[in-house]
Amino acid sequence: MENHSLTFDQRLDTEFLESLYEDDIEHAMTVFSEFLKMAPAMMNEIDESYESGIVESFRQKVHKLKPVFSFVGLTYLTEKAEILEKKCKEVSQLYDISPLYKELKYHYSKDFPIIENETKRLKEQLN
Amino acid sequence: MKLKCIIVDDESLARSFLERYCQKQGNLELMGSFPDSEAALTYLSSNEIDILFLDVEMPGATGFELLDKLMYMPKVILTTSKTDYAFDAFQYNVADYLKKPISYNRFQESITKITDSLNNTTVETNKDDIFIKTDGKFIRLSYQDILYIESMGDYVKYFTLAKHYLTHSTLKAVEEKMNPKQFMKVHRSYIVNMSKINDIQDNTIVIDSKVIPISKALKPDVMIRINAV
Repeated sequence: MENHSLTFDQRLDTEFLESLYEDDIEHAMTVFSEFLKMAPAMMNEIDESYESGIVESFRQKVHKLKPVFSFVGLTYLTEKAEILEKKCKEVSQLYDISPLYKELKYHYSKDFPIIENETKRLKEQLN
Repeated sequence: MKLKCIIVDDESLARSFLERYCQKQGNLELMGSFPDSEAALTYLSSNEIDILFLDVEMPGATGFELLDKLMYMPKVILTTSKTDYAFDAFQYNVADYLKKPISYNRFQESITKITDSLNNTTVETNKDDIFIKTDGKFIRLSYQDILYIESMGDYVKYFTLAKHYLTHSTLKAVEEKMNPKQFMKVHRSYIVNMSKINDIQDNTIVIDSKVIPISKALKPDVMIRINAV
């Protein structure tokens, strides 16, 4: 019988992902696929908020994206987003948190292909 | 018995996790999953549930604003990615606080906590009486002494001629414990002892000078039960 136990790319938080999905490959595949659709749109919205300069609007959008990173094992991005969200409460203009935001975007762009590959692999494993 | 629950969260992936967990958990019946407070409020205005999984920060009304508008208080489990709401959670007497992302183990712990608290509120003894937990002790109440029971948010109050007793429970949980031949729910906030009714006028019942409303939907059943001529 084919072994369908769930494993993930070691660059992701595998321990967390295994606790989240247990052996439910179908659910993991659905969430990873959904992340590929949702995350770019959510990042665009954050970008737009950043451009508008409204701190609270920017904070709310970061707040929404924050747990989504963890759903695909990017728990360290959830932590970075949390720091960014907290900093929003301390500043009056987004310029002051620009380095943190740029860092989040950089890591997101760098790791997005990992999620694309994992989604592809999960689909193959399921089929 | 399955506990009826709904999910309110504007973030679809967060909802999908909770939906999955509710399905996996054998004793929950998911009645709805809503992306905002307004849609949930519409549902809750005409449906009673046991557990509300509630996000706090949502576009439009927040989770706490939704709680402010509810006519009764189910067990509330806050599901949020922020830990700053502990004080509000305490104020609203929420049953539990789950930080996103939520693991199935943590979800299960929360449900066990709720089912334990519901099960520990009353102890059935025999067909003539019931033990209720109030002021830190269990008190035996004879069914015959209970005039009516009123829902008060997360609590219910048992009224007898001599005293009243406040206990942490829901009217739904109480209804399931009471003898259906003797007690009847006449309104979303009231269960009455049918043998204690003094009179019924229009949409109200009088028991020991207390005027109790009868809901429109339940009035036909009440009239059948009193066997009016």
